[in-house]
Amino acid sequence: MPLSRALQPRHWGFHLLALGLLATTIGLGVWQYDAWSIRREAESRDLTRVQPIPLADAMGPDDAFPGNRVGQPVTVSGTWVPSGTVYISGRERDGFWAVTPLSTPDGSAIEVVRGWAATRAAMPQPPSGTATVTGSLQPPEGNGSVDTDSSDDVLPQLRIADAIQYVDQDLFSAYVVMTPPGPGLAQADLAALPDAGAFTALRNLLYAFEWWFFGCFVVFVWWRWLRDDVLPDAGRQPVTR
Amino acid sequence: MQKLFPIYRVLAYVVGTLLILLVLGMAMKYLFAEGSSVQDFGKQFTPIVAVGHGYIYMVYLVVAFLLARRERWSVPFTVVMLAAGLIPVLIFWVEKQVEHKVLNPTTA
Repeated sequence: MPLSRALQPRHWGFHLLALGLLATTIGLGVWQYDAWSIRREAESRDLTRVQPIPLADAMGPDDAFPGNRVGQPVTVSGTWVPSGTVYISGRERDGFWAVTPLSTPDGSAIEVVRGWAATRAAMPQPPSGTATVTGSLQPPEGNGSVDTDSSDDVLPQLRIADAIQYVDQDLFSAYVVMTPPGPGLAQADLAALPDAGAFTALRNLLYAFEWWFFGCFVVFVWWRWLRDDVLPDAGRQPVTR
Repeated sequence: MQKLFPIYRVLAYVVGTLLILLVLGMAMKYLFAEGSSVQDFGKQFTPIVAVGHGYIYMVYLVVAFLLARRERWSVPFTVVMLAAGLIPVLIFWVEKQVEHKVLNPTTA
C-alpha cells in the first residue's frame, strides 16, 4: 500500500527535513512580516512627533478634516470655554477624557482633550482664561455609540454634532489631544494615528512573501519526491544520470 | 516543457548578474566611508538589487527544479543547481554544466 511505503523508516529523514525546512521558512516569513508592521507603526508614531504648526495652517474653522493631517502636532491660542466642558467615557482602561473647547480669535472653538483620569470625580476644575495649547490634531469621532443619558455632561464619543450642544458657537471639525496634558490629568492616547507611507518597510513585506513562497516550494519538492520516487515502486531505484 | 532549458539559461544569467551587482553594492555600502557618495549609492542600490534577486531567484528555483526532474538528474547535482543562485559566480559554471548535460544526455 502506497501510504505505508511512504512511512517506511528509511524515508523518515526526508520527511523530517521537509518539515524542518517548512517550519523555518514559515518562521522567517512571520519574522519579516512582524518587522514590517513594527516599522510602520514606529513611523506612524514618529509622524506625530514632528514640529507643531499653527492650527490655521492645518485647517480652517469651516473646513472638513484634512485627511493628511491625522496626528499632526498643532498649536492653537484662544480662550477656554469652561462651561462647554464634556467628559468622554470608556477611554483607555475605562476612564474619561476631559474635553474643554478653546475659543479661537475668529469666533470658532476647537475641542481640546486636556487629558485622561480614571473617574469623573477625579477630574480637576476646567480651566478658564486665555491659553496657547500644543497637541495632536485628530479627526472627530463617529463610532455610532449612543449617549444613554443626554442630561449629563458625559458623552460616549467625541462627535462634534454632540459636543456642539454644550457650546453656543461653531466648532472645528476636529479636536486636539493636548501634549503634555493639562494639570491634574494623565496623557490621553491618540485615537487615530497617521498612515505610514506605502513604501515604508516594503522590503520586509516582500521578504515575508518570499519566505512563504520558499515554504510552498519545500512542499512541492516533497510532493514530487513522494510521487516520483517513493510511491510508484519501492523496489526499483529511480534512474539517475 | 521543451522550452525549460532556454528559460533556465536566461534566469541563470539574470540571477548570476544580479548576485554580482549585489556583491558590488554591498562592497560600496560597507567598504566605503560613511556619508561618501559611493557609500550612499550602495545604500540605495543594495536593497533594490537584493529584492530583485530574491524574487527572480524564486522563479529560478522552480524552473531549475522542474528541469532537473525532467532530466532525472541526481539529487546532489539538483541541490548544486538550486544553491548556485545564492553563491556569487558559481551559477555561470553550473549553467555550462547544465548545458552540457542537456545537449549530451547519455554521457555526463
